[in-house]
Amino acid sequence: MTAKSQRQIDAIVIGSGAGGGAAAWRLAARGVQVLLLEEGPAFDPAEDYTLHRNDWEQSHFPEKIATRYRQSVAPLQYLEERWDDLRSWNHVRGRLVKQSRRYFGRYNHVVGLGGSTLHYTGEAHRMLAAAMRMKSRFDVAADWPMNYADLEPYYGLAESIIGVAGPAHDPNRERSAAPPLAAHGQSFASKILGMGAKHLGLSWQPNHLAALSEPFDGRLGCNYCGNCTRGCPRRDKGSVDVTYIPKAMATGNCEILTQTKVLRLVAGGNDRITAVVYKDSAGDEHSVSAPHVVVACGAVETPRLLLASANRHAPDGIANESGLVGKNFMETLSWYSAGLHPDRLGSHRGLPSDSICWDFNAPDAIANVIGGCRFTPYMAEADLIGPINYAQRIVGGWGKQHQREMRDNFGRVLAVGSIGEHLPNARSYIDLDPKVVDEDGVPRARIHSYLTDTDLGRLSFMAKTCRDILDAAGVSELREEVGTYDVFHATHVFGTCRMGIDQTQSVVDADGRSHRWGNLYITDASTFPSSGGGEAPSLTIQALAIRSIDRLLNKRD
Amino acid sequence: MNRRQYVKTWFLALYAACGGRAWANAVAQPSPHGERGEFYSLGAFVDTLIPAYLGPSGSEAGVPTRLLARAAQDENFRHMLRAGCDWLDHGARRFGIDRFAKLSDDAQIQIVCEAEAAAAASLERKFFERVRHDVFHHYYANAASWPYISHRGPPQPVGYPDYASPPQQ
Repeated sequence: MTAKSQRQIDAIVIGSGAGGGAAAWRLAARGVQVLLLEEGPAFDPAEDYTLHRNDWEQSHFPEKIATRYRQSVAPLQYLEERWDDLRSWNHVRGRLVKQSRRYFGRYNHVVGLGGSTLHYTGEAHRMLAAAMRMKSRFDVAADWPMNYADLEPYYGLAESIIGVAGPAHDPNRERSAAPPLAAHGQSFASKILGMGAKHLGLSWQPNHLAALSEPFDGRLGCNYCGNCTRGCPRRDKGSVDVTYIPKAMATGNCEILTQTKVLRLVAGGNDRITAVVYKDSAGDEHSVSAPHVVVACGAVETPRLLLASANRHAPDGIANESGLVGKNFMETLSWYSAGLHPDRLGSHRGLPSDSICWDFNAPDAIANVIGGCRFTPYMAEADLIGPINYAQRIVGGWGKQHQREMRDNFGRVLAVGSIGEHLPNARSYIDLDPKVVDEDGVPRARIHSYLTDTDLGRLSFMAKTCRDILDAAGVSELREEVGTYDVFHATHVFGTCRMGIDQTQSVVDADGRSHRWGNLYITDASTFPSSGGGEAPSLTIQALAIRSIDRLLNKRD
Repeated sequence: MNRRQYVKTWFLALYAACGGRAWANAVAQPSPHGERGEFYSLGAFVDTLIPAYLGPSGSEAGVPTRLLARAAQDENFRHMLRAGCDWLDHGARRFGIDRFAKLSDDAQIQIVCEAEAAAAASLERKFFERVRHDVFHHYYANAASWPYISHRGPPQPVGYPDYASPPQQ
């Protein structure tokens, strides 16, 4: 995209993922002239996604900007024998991590117009109200400076924008209206898992998903290919680029510059951000100013930008008066188990995570552990839906025996996965790498990650329950288990610019506004005071962003 | 000459005749990267991992060409392939044959079993695991490999409208 001629800009939004996209749309829809800056390129679903090709399985999401080494990582914790039951392994390779320290897999994100919604599975969850009171109820993490009721109308609005399909009622989350679309049917394999869950006395219900169960808002309904994480060529997945962005553009109030990297914010002496300095797609540096600046780069890159923008007015980094920018980093705590069912199930078919068990989502649902979790089918998320991965990870072998086993086993894998709460701790944080800079001389974000015994106790419960569900579903033999004890693998990250009422204990207020820098807002998951018991954060990020913008504009008006 | 050697000879002849000389040259003639026939036994190794049985062999599915293409770009991979092929040929000499590719099927299988069972840090074990991994990566991206596993093909543009039903047998 190319810049329009110079015009009055009322708000600059940095980042176009769930939070930035929603913020840009709301601003533009309410008549504000918005400049949206996105470091990555736009993607064309019809051209860039390769699910129609014979070699579709050979690659994951077709990144245009590599993310594997975009951040550095501090040495991770040593692995202990007492947690050996949480080691990742598969049938072909044995233990996946042979070293003595936790292995850094990746911080799984996308740099592009739409951010990580480009490769997400589309789970559209609302936070559990109880999970928003972790400090006052359990003396861990922090309380959200708002109630679920404050967010509820914004959840409904976000659902209507992206097109959420799911059950009309959720006994644990009040809704003023049903989702815009009826729930998807459960895949045949998910129904088998559901029978296993129910045999254990667990619930198993359709999940809320930002994937269309029928045509909606000019987009096609889903055809259940199961490859949401590789990019949706049909645009039925509610990623930001096919929902908020077109709507923002349609207002005529939103200008988008892609391949535009923000280098720093400029803090002025009047407690305001006076400029945003960025490098455009030609490599030229520019400075732009606006009355309002909204940062939505995610829980790793937002603190990086703020810390790297330190100057004489903000010597410790922008908005870091509390010292908490980068602190309280929360990551994805996850586990899955996969095995072979005696019957051919065609388990490569259907939506990822089309069903869910919320029974242990509440913070006090797991005995002797604070922090909840949830369970879903995991064949697609584990990428066990194509013949290459079956051969490499599930079947192995070689020669005629390998071919017989491929013939007999393709489509028989069942997998159950769990995502759980991660509580903030002093050893998990984001800072600036003192030695490593990027191509523009900006220090890279450095990830410090640590899992406490509480987290690992929760993970143990998650692993056991996954195994129990598979066993009850008739899985005769486990073939792979992967968890985040020995492999750091985070998609959902939170907490590094925590919101709160107390300025000494938070970075932004309940509106997402910096306590000190009056025209600076943050609208991504870095503001989350707690991670939730496994809820996918995207819908909450969107709801918070829209609410923040409404609060910003209401104050202005 | 057994069936596999017949098929391979036929395929080589056909491939060369049809202009696909690159792979034929690489496996039977001086390698463009130096030593004579350094990857001569690669095709036979691939076909031991994936023989013509329920589906086409690895060679019939074009896998060696893919491996050699990577070797042309990746020095480390090329060294590993060369060392692995040397190890295979060294094993063949125990049978009085100078090349793994000229061995009987049973002898080839025996040698590959030895590679599979070797110590984890050994050259032959790493060669076996790395090449097998890549063989699967390429083989199962070839449509010719799908019928025998009842895999219909890429997920789009059709998707799986029957996702809620038992799979068709």
